[in-house]
Amino acid sequence: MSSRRRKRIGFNSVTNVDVVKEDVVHRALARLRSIHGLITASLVEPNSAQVLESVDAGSDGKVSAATTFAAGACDIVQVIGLMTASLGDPDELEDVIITLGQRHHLITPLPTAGTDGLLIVVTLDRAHTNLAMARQQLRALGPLLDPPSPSAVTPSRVR
Amino acid sequence: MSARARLLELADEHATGALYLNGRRGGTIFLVHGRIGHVESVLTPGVEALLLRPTYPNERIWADLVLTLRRGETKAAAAAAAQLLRHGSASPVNAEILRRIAMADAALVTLGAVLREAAPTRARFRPGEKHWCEPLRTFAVADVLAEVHRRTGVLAGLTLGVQPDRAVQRVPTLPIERIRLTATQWNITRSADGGNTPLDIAWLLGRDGFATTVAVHQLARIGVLTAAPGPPKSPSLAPVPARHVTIFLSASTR
Repeated sequence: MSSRRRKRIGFNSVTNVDVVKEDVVHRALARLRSIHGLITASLVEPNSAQVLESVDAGSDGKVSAATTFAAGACDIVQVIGLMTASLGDPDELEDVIITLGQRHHLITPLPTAGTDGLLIVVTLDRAHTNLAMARQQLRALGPLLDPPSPSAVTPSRVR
Repeated sequence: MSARARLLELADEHATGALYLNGRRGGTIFLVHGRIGHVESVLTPGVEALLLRPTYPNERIWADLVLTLRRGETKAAAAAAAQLLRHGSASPVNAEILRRIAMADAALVTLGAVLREAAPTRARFRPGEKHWCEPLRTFAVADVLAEVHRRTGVLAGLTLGVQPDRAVQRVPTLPIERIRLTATQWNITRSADGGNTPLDIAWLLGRDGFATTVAVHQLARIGVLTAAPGPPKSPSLAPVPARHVTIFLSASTR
């Protein structure tokens, strides 16, 4: 790092201001509470199976079994990737719907969010949900979590 | 006192400040009222690296910056990343997602003892100190430790000699006639020159080290990469056992 650059960007410019900001990730995911029959929703990093954020129908905070669901969802997406790759199919995964007797599990990839895509993993109460509406609402969440287009990023040089 | 014991003690005291572990080759845990606001380590790409990487189209210039960052000289990069955030070129949602990804990655090497050079030995606490990237949310120490535990389990389950700090290389000839890779898998394969470890590749691509290690393992399993030096003893063409396919699930239910 050149000393010239170090002078231009003062170290003071990164000093924290003691203001509590709103958790924008939580707010974006909490929109999914408007889905009828929602039980839980998690935002998951598919390459590490890390749960970045979770919400459930009522309270905030830790959603039980979220990590196990996330792990399973990441493995499922991985397996589907291997499956379609061996078929030579150039198509992309839109979502995975798992229907159980009482519940639906939905896995929706957001290919351009995070460093290398993210997953939304949702559990719905089958008796109180409209699957087609829920899928639509999940897709609408994509633009809120995606980064701006690369052209909007101003190149910034450190050296 | 162990690093973990010191961390739990500070959490009990609702302390705010930075806990430095293992000196220069370790990590720093930033506490806010006894909860973890952020973790960073000189061993894993920080949030500034993840934010700045897409703004560097030139790989050589980025590789030079990586050398600087891995020496622990992150102030100028942090300032540039903060500028990206202030001017709205990086969306706040995406920045916070990248921060959480970088944080979990640094927590793994700082608290998980998966790298030899980061064995937890020394701990020093500086009250009041904050990280430049303000956390929008803090995490309970127990939750962060649970994630570290989960990741340690995933790494322990990796086969074919793949580890974060062991060099990987491309195989000279593909085991099958045709193969389909994602853009990230191709970039990883391109960087696997026999000298780079998964952690080195993570730095070069601006991704987190743990996810890159898992992705390298995936590529080793389909026979594109191999742990250096020399090919693995069992051919990668062999059918993949089911427990290897469900790598995350088997680690979290073990």
